[in-house]
Amino acid sequence: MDQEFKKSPPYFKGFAVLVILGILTGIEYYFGTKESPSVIFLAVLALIKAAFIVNYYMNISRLWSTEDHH
Amino acid sequence: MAAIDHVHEHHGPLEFTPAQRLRMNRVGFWLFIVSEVFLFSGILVARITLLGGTRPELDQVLGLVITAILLVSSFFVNRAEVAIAYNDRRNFMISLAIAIIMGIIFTGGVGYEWSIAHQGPDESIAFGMFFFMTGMHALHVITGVLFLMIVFYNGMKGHYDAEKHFGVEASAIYWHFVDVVWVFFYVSLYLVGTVAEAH
Repeated sequence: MDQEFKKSPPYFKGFAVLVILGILTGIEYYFGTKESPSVIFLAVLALIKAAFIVNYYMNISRLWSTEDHH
Repeated sequence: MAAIDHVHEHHGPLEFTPAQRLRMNRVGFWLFIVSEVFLFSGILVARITLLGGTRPELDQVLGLVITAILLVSSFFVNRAEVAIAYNDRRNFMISLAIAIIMGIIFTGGVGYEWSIAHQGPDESIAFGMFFFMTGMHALHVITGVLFLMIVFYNGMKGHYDAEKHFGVEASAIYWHFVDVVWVFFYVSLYLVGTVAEAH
C-alpha cells in the first residue's frame, strides 16, 4: 500500500501554489502600475507570496518535523 | 578496566545516525539562509531610506516577465525535489534542467534590463539602488544556477534517491529563497512609489 502511494508523487500541490503565486503577482502588477498604488497593499501581497513559498516550496516545517529520513 | 572502557566510549569520534545528520544539515542550512535574510533585509531598508516613495523608471512588462520566469523556475525546482523523493528520476532530471534554463533566462533578462536602463549606477540614487539590488540578487541567482547544475551533474551520476537527497533539498531551499527575495525586490523596485525625476 505504501509502495503504491510512493509511485505517484504529489505534483499537484506545487502547481496549485504556482497558480496562486501567479494570481497574486497579476494583482500586484495591476494595482502597482496604477497612478498611486497603496504601499501597504503591495507589501501585504508580497508577504503572502513569500509565506506561500516558504511554507510550501521551502517546507520550513521540516525543521521541526520528526521525519527520520528522506 | 571497565571504567577505562567507559571513558573511551565517550571520548571517541562522535557518530550520528542518518536522521541526526539530516536534522543538523537542515538546521545548519537554514541558519545560513537566516544570515542571507539579514543581508537582503539591509538592502531593502537602504532602498526604503534612500528612495522613499520614488522608484527608478523601468520596463514594467520586462519586470513582470522575469518575475514570472523566476516563479515558474521555483515550481520546477519543487517538482524536481518531489520527484526524487518518490524516486521519479526522469521528472527529477527534466524539472531540474528546465529550472536551470529558466534561471539563466532570468539572469539574461536582468542583464537586458541593465542594458536598456535610462541611467547608469552613478547617475542617480534611484538607478544606483536599482543596479545594486538587481546585481546582488543576480549574483545569488547565478550561485543558485551553479548549485542546481552541481545537483544535476550528481543526479546524472545517480547520487540521489528517495532516501538520500539532502543536496537536492538544500539547492531547492536556496533557489526558493532567491525567489522570495525577488518577491520583495520586484515590488520595491518596479511597483511601489512614483517614478523618480531624472537629475
